[in-house]
Amino acid sequence: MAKEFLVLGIETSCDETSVAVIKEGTQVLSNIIASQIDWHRKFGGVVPEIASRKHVELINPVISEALAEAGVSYQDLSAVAVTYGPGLVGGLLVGISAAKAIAYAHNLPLIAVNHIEGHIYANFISYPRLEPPLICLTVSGGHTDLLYFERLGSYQILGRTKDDAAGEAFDKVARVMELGYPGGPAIDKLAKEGDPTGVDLPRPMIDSPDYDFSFSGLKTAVLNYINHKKQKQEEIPKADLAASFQQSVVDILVTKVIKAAKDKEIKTVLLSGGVASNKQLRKELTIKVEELGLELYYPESQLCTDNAAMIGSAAYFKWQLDQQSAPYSLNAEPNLRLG
Amino acid sequence: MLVLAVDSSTKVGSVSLVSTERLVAESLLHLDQTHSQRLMPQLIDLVDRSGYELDDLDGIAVALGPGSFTGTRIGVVTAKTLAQSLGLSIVGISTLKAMAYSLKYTSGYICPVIDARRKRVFTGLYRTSDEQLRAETEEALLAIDDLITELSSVQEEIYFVGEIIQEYRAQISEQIEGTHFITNKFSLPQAGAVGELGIERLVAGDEDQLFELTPNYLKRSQAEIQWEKNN
Repeated sequence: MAKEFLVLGIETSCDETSVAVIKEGTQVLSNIIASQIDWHRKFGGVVPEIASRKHVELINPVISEALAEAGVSYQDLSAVAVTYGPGLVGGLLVGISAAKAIAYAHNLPLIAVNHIEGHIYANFISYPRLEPPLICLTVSGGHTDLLYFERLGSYQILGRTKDDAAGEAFDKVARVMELGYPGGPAIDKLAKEGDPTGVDLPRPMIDSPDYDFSFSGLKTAVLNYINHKKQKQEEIPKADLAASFQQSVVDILVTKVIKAAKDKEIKTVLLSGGVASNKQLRKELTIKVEELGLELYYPESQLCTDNAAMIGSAAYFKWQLDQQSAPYSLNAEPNLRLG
Repeated sequence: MLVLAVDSSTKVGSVSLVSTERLVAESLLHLDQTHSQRLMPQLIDLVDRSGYELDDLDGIAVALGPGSFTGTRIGVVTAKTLAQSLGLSIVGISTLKAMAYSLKYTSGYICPVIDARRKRVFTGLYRTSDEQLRAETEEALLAIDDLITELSSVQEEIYFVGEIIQEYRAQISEQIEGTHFITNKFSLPQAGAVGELGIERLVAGDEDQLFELTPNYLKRSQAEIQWEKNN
């Protein structure tokens, strides 16, 4: 019997130091995530230099823990996978340096993974039987992409954001509303108490004929609304504003996904990325997708955040396609895009 | 005993293999290309050419900085993860001390200097006594003017090591007597020195705790400095 394919995945692109062991692409033997959020909170966002320093402190203990929890040793591994972009360059370099060292020490293939692809493959960990053709909406603090998969491992980009990512808009709006960091969960929570029609906000590009997105105008509209209220010395209806802002984002995302699903005549829709945890987005998309007789999948919560399990999974599927090991000169690509 | 040494804390990137008897191999690249692109290929090439295998290693020595934050991190994470996955001992060595080490047999003070930008330097004062190179001051981040003021009271000869010192040579010569400026290859940090300092400590059983070993930044992040000002 062939040896089971075990990937050690490493993810350090933002403020989570994560290492996982993945068996045959979809079985998570371990997925250790050390969050640095406590060190960044007082700054109202991720500070790149602090993130890099924390990754240096955390990466080696997290590697040990991932191997121990999986009950495997270096000799059992088939490959090492690492996120090489997009993300914060200092953090990416910590993961890449560690991955190269392990690959060299144990003569293993080094698989370079695009972080955004990782988020997509998080779905295959939760639902190993998923089959293309399908479309996938990837939304997080750094990206908003709509993808079409005709077969596994290869995809076409239908549309993406022209300016801010959806998650970035959540974080910025949360910051001006002084809701703390991270902004997504804070707005999601406050929105439950508010009226989503309470504040009239735009829905940029919702009717455009393409599949592209734009969120900076919406963010600006929220800022203008707040400034206007402050000038008139009126109280800001925070819950209503949070609910209305969230509703705008959800409306835009849902409209584009449904348009793509109809145009491409697919049966399956995937949701991935940090914003895939947004409850309102999940709820509305579920309703719309069911109306059309389609199926919606999103990864379990732990796999929606940045984690190394998804990197190990993406690496496995990539390796099955091309068996291509990255060179030891691999560098970080902070602005790496899909496609 | 055989030790692999790594330094990527400045634009100079070097790796070496040092045994208890001799310097076995050393490779130094002084380039603008990132350490991420060049360190591992350089390291693998050195090990391959030396005829040794990774299994022959007993320990790893790494330069902890001060210097470039990113460069130092690449070296430190590479060294720590190699040590971790091969089950080897590790020691961290000050980049400044490694620079001073090249002048170990000099009488007088040795002042290694690394650029910290905006007319500031990472520096410390070293001298040899009883055949041992010892730090005479705490390593620190100093404005070049403050360094000159501090050193102007020193009565003995001072040997400055480090490329950046050439920029301040005229100013220093004017204000301090008895100064010397090293312009040959000893002005660069070298992994051979990191390895020799490392093997000394490993032979003495003085290894570092792998999980505890971090770069010596000598400076907090800008965000922390700003936050403290505002709060």
